[in-house]
Amino acid sequence: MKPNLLLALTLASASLAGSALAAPTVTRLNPPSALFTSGDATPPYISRFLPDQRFDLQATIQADAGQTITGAVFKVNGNAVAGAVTVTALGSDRFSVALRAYSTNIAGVKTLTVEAAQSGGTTATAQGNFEIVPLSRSRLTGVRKAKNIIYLIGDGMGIAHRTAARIVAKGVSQGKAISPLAMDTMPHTALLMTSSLNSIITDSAPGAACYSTGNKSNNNQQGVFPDDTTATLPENKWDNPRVEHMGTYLARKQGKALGIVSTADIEDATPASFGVHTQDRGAGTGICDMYLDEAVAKSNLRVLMGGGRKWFLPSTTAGSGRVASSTASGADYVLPADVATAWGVPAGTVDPNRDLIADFQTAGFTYTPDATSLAAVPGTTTKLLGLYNNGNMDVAMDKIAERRGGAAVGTVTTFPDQPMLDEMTEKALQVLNNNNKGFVLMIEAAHIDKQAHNMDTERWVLDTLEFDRAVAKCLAFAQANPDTLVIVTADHECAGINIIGGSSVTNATLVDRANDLGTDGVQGVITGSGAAPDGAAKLRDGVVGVYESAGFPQYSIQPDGYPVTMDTDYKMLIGYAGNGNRYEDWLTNPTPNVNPATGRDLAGDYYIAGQVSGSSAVHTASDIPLSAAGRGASLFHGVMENTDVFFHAMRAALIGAP
Amino acid sequence: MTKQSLPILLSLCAVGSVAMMVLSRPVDPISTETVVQEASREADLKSTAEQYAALPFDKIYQLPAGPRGLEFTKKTQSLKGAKVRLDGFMVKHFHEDAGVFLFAGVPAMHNQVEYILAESLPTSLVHVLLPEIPGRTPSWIPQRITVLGTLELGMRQEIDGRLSHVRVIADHIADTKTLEAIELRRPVALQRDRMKSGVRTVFRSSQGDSPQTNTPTNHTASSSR
Repeated sequence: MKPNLLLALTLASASLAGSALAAPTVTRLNPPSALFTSGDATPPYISRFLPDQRFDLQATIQADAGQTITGAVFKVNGNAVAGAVTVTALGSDRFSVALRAYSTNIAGVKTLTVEAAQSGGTTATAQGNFEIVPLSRSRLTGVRKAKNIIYLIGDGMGIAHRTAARIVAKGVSQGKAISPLAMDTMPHTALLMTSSLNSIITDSAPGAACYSTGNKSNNNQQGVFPDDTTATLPENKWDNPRVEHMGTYLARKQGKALGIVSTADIEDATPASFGVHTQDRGAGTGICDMYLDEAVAKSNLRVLMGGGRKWFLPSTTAGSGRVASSTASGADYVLPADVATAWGVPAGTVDPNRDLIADFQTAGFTYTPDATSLAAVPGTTTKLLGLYNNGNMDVAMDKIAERRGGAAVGTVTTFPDQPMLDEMTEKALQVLNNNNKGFVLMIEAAHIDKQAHNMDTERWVLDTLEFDRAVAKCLAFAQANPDTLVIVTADHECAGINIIGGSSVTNATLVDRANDLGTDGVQGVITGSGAAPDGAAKLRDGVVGVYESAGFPQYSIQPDGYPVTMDTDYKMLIGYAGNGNRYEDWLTNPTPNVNPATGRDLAGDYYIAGQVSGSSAVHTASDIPLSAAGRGASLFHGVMENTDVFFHAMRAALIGAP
Repeated sequence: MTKQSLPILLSLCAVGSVAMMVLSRPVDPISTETVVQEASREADLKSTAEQYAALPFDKIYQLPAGPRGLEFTKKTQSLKGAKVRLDGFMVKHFHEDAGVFLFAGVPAMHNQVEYILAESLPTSLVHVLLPEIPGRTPSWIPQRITVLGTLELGMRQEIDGRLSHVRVIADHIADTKTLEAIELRRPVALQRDRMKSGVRTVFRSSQGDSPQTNTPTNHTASSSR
């Protein structure tokens, strides 16, 4: 019998039996396990932790009608876990029971049992399991520990994003890359599987949080496991079962510092996945408050740089985004008392008028609002806050255009002096290196993903180049500081990108065809079958050169490291397998973030119907590449779960590696 | 034509127009012509527009932004509570409030499903408030439009979590080229290209109250909300 069918029959039988007996039932047990959900006690174990890494135990109980759950006991390998168990009513005779901040030093696979008592004397019981991963010192004599761990995350960066950036920046001649990207020079390579706890397609929250916690979580969630309180409790965004972050663990164990750098709004999913615990990646007010209230205190957060200034301004200040709620999008945080007590963190409050920049400064942070002030940060600085845009920072192409004296598009007019990611990286390394116990630094190139969603080829290519320049800074740092592990990877692939060929015409011809309204004389018109035949003839059949017709596209690179133009003759052409609807003319879009289905490239009438609804491309489940260099890099090889990256990095930091 | 029959006629026109669009144009985009056709047939707004002071988007805030937040220009401050005219583009996005759309000086989109409120939208964003019509919401159109209305300044909590700092209580929406009136509010069911919401959340403030939505009853009292 197929396992799934057997499971379904088993569950159906249990359900019928449950109806007849009307016993209370455990409907969720955290940490998640295959033993609880499907009765499978064999590997792979869904939840894995380090010795002494803290995490919450939680269960949801469906009580009998009119009954209540009066208490619960959690047992690990049959032994009751000490500590307070909080019982919370969820409505509809459902209850959550939780024991916070559990940890154990003893490695091995553990059976987790919950026994919940119902009024009237009946009991609900269920079992799951988790693994405490051993950190054996055997066969590792003479190795050194990684003092510093640097994660460089190209958000959404799959293999093709890297290849495309290499073709543009380095070129290919007679079949060989003329020179490699910085990330190509890293000696160890792996492929990562990226599925989240609830989908084969992850979003950036669990896709990044796995590197900081070692565990999978649901989409939109970071540093937590899913629970069932979402619709019922005011604190629902903030009460999920937590898993201790790498930064917190290493600050506690080794006194390391934490740095978080991103070109996104700093509350966005990837940066927050390294310092915050919430089920809502959009809770910007609370996420940014939590950086100061928790991450500075518990993770020794010393560098925070990116966009998102709106969350740091009092709500009465124009441009502020601080929300007077703990439940809405952009919410502030308020923790349940058991979470605050057990984890030793502030409970938080809804404080829309908080001046978070001033509070960071009071905590000893130097605040830099632009590239000029960032460059002037002295070498003795030990804590650095940089907020360079109200929302996401502008993309590399638009920042570079402004530096070259070109047109200011995006929000460059409002924020004309934004640093490049490599400049932010250099300062982050300088500040963090002042902590003699080492550091964990996460650097994210956010717009590789965002511009891939927009199917804006030229912008994500340049953001990949900007990212590679940050990689080069880190590799240089690792060379000067050999006890540094550098990991370059992504959180997922975005847009199903690949290099499909090269243009078979000059740019001038391409411009003519893109502006030619065609036989109908009208822009953006498509037929009843969803096609635009004159556009396809002009801009697909007459342009897309495949195989040997693709040739070797050549781009001229300026001293700043970026192409003179992306609109070169016989340019590289990109296809999108995860595409939304779009018009395409292969030319650089003059402005960013314009709807590809209706707002750009219309004149040429080349319409490409999406394979997903809407006009935005989507993440894919493709494996993503990982490159590693420095202390412990040899641990990374083969095809791995993304959660394994955490354990390898921690192994390098805690017991050492070649 | 009676006032009572006008909404029915408009609805029939809207349904008819959209049906024609569906038959002839099975794939987006929505055409400018179609939207204008389904607009109310008011006289053009050229003479009306002259009574409104022009407020360019790049004159709303002082540029560049200072390190501790945005500041209104003297022009913006002087127009607080006045009748203003802004020319720009509807942001293609999802909004929880059926009577609100985001308005910007340049074409822009925001994918709420992917990014919630982590945005790359222009900083000089304006919330445009329209009287709500049950079952209808502002439907995004790709053309440049003109909003004529009363300028409101100051922080207001919106139901979707955003804070608005600049609002226009719209009297009229018009095509910028012709100044012909446009009716943006269309049945939700007919908006095939409508953006999706992100994580569904419920606003509860620390005081237990909620921001008001932009219903007709509170429309005129907007400045007191």
